[in-house]
Amino acid sequence: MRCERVQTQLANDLGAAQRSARVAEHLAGCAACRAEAARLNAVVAAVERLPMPQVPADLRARTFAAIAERRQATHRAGPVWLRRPAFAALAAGIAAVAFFAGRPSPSPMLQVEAGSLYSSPYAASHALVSAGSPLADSAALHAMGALAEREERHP
Amino acid sequence: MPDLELKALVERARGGDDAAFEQLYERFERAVYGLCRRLLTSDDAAEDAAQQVWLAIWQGLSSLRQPEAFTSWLKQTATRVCGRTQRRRRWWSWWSEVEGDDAPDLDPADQAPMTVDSLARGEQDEAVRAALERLSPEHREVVVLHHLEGLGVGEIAVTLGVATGTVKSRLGRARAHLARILGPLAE
Ligand SMILES: [Zn+2]
Repeated sequence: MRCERVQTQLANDLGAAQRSARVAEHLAGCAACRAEAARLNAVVAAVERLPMPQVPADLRARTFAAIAERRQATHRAGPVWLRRPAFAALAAGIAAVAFFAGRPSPSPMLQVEAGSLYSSPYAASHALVSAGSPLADSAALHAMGALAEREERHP
Repeated sequence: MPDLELKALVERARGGDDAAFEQLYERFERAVYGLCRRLLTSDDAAEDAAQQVWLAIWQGLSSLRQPEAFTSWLKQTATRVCGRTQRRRRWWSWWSEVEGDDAPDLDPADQAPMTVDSLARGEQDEAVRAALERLSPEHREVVVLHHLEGLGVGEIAVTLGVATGTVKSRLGRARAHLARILGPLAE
């Protein structure tokens, strides 16, 4: 076996490589690869014993302030959408979780929509996370919401 | 916290119990912030990301089907929020053509290794942290998830939405880069 191949195997999976008879045979006769194996072992050990980072003192206050703000915004934005049936259907279909499952008590209809749409928590969290992205589908829904409101004022 | 107790707490928070949500926050504040801080390269970015993660958790909780999946959902959400932050920063630094506070994405092989042989424990941890920040975001991500969060290669593949083989090869290259950056570590 060539050194390059041995060292790639070591980096890819140190444990498996060290259990392999062919690698062991190479290591027995190659000081450079033995040194590389020792180095990788030491690096992994050093990474794994890193202490947890310190939490900033103001994180809790900032986080709960952001949640309170979002809760208020959700309460304000919710009903406008639902007044127009066409948009309500679309919105409930696409953005149920992101916009209307505003806790503590989303309406029963929206809970059903959200449940059927996002059958896994991963899908739900993904949809929610994408709400923060400027070009995500939620941004388009915001724009549509604004349009709906404008139409309502100037039919 | 025993699993049953955590499950009950998640169920209460899911039902709109603010006190239960606060307890969840207390329980996982350190884990969420720690993961964000390790994935990102500045305290400010990590703080913003952690806040976004909790917002997503707060909003998504009512549709969480399996309370027992809470912990992995939390980690996955944090990983995704941080991944998005990295991509946005990369775009921004490309667009503005100025060097931000992001770690420069240089080939570690071009840089002189830090010799951490004779360093005290605290200094050695600092050197390892600095080396992690010199990795590309993709490489740092797999190292953090595997070696610090204890996720398996398969779980990481699901979290990142990439193939298992991709995770393995990223991990291999990342570890090799780290070894080159750090030079000969103390035995
Ligand atoms: Zn060799």
